[in-house]
Amino acid sequence: MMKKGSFIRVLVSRWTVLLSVILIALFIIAAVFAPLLMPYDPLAMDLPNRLAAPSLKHLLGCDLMGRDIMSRIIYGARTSMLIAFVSIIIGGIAGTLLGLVAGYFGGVVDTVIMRLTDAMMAIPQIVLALGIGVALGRSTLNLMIAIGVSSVPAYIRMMRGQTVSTKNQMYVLSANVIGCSDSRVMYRHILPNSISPLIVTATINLGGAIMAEASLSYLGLGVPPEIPAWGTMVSDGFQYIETAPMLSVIPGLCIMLVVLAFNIFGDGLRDMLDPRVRGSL
Amino acid sequence: MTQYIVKKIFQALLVLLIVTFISYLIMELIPGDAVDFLLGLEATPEKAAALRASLNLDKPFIVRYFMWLGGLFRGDMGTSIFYNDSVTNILVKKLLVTFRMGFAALIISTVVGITLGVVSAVNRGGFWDNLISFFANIGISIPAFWLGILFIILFAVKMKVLPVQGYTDPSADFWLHTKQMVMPVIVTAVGALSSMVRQTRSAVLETISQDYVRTAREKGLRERAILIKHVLRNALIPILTLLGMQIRVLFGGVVIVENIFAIPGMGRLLVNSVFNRDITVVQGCILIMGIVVIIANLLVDVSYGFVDPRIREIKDVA
Amino acid sequence: MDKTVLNVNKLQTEFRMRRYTVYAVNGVSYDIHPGEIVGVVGESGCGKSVSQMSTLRLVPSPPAHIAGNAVYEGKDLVDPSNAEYLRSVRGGKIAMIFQEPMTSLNPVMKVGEQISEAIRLHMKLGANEARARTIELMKKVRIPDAEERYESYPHEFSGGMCQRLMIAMAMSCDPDLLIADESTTALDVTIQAQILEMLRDVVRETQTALLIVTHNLGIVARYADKIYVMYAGSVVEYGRAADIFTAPSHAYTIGLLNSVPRLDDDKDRMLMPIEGFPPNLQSRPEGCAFSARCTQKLPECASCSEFPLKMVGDGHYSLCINDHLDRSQRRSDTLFEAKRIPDETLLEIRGLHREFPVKKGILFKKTVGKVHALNDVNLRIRRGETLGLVGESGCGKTTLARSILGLISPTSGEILYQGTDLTKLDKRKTREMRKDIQLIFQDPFASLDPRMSIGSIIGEPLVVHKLTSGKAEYLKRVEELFIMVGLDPSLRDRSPHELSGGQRQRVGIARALASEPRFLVCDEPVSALDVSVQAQILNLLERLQRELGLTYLFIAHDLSVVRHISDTIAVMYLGRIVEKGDWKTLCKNPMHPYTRALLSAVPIPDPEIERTRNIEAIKGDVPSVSRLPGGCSFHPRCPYASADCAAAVPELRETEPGHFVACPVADAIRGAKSQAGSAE
Repeated sequence: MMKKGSFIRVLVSRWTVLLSVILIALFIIAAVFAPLLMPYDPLAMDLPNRLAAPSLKHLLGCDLMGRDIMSRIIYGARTSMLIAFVSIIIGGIAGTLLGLVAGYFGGVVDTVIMRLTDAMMAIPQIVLALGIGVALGRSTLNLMIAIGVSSVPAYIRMMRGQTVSTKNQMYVLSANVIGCSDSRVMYRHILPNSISPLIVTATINLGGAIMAEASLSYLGLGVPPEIPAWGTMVSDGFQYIETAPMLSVIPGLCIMLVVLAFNIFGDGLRDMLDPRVRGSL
Repeated sequence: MTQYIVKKIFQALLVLLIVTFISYLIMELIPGDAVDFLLGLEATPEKAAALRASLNLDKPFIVRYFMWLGGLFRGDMGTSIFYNDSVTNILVKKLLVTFRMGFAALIISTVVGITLGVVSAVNRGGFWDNLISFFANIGISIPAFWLGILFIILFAVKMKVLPVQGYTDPSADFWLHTKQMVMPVIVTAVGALSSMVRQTRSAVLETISQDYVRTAREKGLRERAILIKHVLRNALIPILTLLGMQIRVLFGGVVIVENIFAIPGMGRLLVNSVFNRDITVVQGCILIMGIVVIIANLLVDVSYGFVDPRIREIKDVA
Repeated sequence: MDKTVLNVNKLQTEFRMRRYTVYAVNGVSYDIHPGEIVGVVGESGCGKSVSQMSTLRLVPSPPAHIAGNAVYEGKDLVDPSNAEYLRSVRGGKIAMIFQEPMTSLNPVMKVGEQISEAIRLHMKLGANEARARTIELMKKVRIPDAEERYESYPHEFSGGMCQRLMIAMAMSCDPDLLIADESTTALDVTIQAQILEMLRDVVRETQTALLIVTHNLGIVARYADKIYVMYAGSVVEYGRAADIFTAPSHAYTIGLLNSVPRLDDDKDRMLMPIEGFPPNLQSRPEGCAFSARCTQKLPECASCSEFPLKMVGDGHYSLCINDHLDRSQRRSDTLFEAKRIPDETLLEIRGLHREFPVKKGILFKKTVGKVHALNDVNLRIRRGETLGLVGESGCGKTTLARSILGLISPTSGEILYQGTDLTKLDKRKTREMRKDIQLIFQDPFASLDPRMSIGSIIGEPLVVHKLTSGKAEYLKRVEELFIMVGLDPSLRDRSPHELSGGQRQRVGIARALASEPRFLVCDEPVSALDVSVQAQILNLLERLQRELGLTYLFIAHDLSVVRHISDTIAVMYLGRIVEKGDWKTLCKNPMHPYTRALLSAVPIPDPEIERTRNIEAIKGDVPSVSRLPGGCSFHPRCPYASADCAAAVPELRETEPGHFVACPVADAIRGAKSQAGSAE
């Protein structure tokens, strides 16, 4: 593993990565402490304040039902982050295990898993998530499962490739030679050596999951409509695009910033964890 | 080479079979069925049972799957309960709309993406590289639906140079059609274009560090000649790989974009049918998208053979 | 010969990374005359390749900063303002051949086109003339069917053939200077000999100067007229080849010569390794860079700032300030005490076959052919001895090693270890057996898990086989193992990448010894190491064998190493044992033409001996194991082959007690040779 010192050094030397980390931290804080940070109840309607312009009372104004946009944005962060993290855990664990098994044992197991992966890879991720989400019924948990499952093939491919190349490394052969069992070889040798690309994939996929959630919510097929979500907010604001464009612009900006932050952070991690690149930083 | 192609075709067919199964399975899991939708409040157990029998819904899952699969071979994807028309008929019309748009986006993203990627790699660390990489990063992070809305605000609402949304058949009014398609095509292309830029850049950089590029340099070739004759041809292999996956990404984008711009293509059909619980149509959409992606990947696999002589030789090794 | 082709003066190359600088080349000067063969020797990281690449500005800049000059025909190639001139020289008048021929050719371009590309560029020839010249060059480097092969792609050639193509490419524009940078290191010894012989013939014929960069002292002894010895980015000694070997005048050169095993050595000579390891070049060395490892250093060596090149003989210069160097260690008579090997079988291999099926078909694969990796192998290893197994790549030696460890199951035959047939054991028993039989790998770095600490790597067998009870006992045992292989136990928490190559190999050995095995399979254990470190490891293995009563199967391609360590030697060719016997009889009296070729392909680091040696270079490539020639598989390359050789597979027969040869014409060859020898 890399040392902590060099990690921080790299972080400071690349301001974009640093900025992305700060941004991610801010959104995570917003998500975790949403109830404390929200100035108003995000669901409380206040019709006199319909489409109110930004003011000191309502920093970002109010939406068509008079709900405080700032509060809804903060709650939206919570929705996005929760769904992204849980779905990444679901997809990451399932995909990593399947990829590990496929790559390590090869043969029929590999063929079966990989053809299944190919098939899932033939369907656009958003369509796959949409299909699974619809099949399971509309709820936040089911949405997490749907997004998680739709991201599984990416993990399988990555982990299988990683396993196949690690499996042929001499240190895996040497683990066999000293008498390690298959499960020990996978758990103690292959998995730890695949952790860096795994973290990178997961980080970039976090952005992907947020995007998928927002897109589904935009289409009206994401989180249940009563829960504030950025995608829903963009979609709701669409009708008032001529009079109150900010209704759509602000939540969309949040989505882009979070996804961008995760992508930049993921790229930065990849460079930091890649020994070839690390030396030159 | 032929062996290689035949092998790839078999693989593609197998994957296709799995795709049919997945798309059937997903829809099968949906609670409630067409009967509930068709009968609504008038449902009585007897009526429901009769209707189920007539729609074959009382048969076991696997039997219905094979019946449906058999239908597919005859080009019959079932009947839409909502449109009361054959799914094949509906899809063929919509597919053309989507295809035209997707194809334009594919061409734009590939041509522009590869060009910018090469420019970026050649000027590694320079101004153009930083600029292009910055926008590519934004491009892969920007939600298509939001970009679409920004475009509408800017070009339709504020500048009033393009229509907000809508679709006109090119045979009816080609000029209007073109104007209507500008924003959707660009919005669809942005994500794919950005990943193409990134992939091309890293492929070119990877190739530049290879030993044979050092050999070419050692031979005394000019940098431009090295780039064209040695680097690009080799970098084409990873770029091709991405090209296969781009079709999938573009389809995903189309689903969103058609809904923003109210374009009557497959994406909009899919979302509407989900709301309508029009299962056969949803199945059909997933299936068609799968087939197109699989064919695209097959073409990519075959084209590897033309780019890379090592793959052409597989007949010897196998 | 006062005209120089290339004059390099005070060349310096630094790699300025963001956080540190590597001083790779520190003021290297040399010159080369037409038709001369110059050798640059040194261990890895001594800057020998970087200095050659720097003269042609082939190092990436930035981070590289090059100073000094390299003058070719009056113009300085290092000067960035001569970039256009340099481009016309590079590949035209000065050409380079690199180590990795397979990756140095563009995989998607026809080889002929890659060669003619340079010709068209530098000689301004048209397509057809360039093609004709390319084919002529391909013939000159002895590529069979040159016209047809023009259209082939690099992957259709073997490594040796690719290197021939690279040489053809380098020779394409009649260069004045050819730089061969470790260009035969990745090749098998017989192929290496072929290529070098051919290269020498070609440059002699065209009066091209040749600069050979290598770590192999034998190669420079055999081919070079003049030798430059490099250490830590500087030339520490140079002179005529004969002078360097007979009167080495730098402590490092002496150390290097002492540490390599030689074919003409006394068998039990204890090698004299250079202790320690080369400095990392992240700071400019204070004083003599070698002083930290030097056994003959003077008090001022470590502090003196300026080391002028001192003339020690005619055209022979050295940086060493010690005027009274002791060269006597060179013929060191320090011997290991002789081993007593009881006539007790530890491992016996009987009729071992291993075939890999060649499958074909799209959906339902059917077996269409077989690759015979092991073909009726019979061996007996006595308790406490070292059996050396020699052969080139693809001869089946690694397959044999892995079969013994149960990593590959043989098609038929028996491997009897103390009477138990290892091939019949189930998975659990095999794992159990690995306590007793262990493997030492070729590449010490690749075989250590980069994510684990050294301590847990060495202790892993103890955990896996539950050999210790309690943490205290475990730690004690790990510490014992560290000390046993000469590692400092305080390195316990380091990662493998923080260690040097020699230390890593010690870790590999300690891990293998953890479960107290009796039998060690050493698969090329020193071939990835620098020569000075190689000697450390060989001595360690010899010491451990005596202390722990170990038995070794020692696999290597380098006959001088195998000869040094082995009691018995077996020679393998394409899956068969072609000759085996006691080391002395086999080396003094090689019977099989292949063994003879192998022996003569290994250069001895002594120009005097090399001059009188008769080199029996064999022709052709090692055939693919999937298309084995009928009869004796060596006959297509054998200079003595008769019609009988293609007809039947020769049996191993005993020609003198304990010496077995599978060659029907062996006696005749020996008769002819000894007659010829006496006539001279």
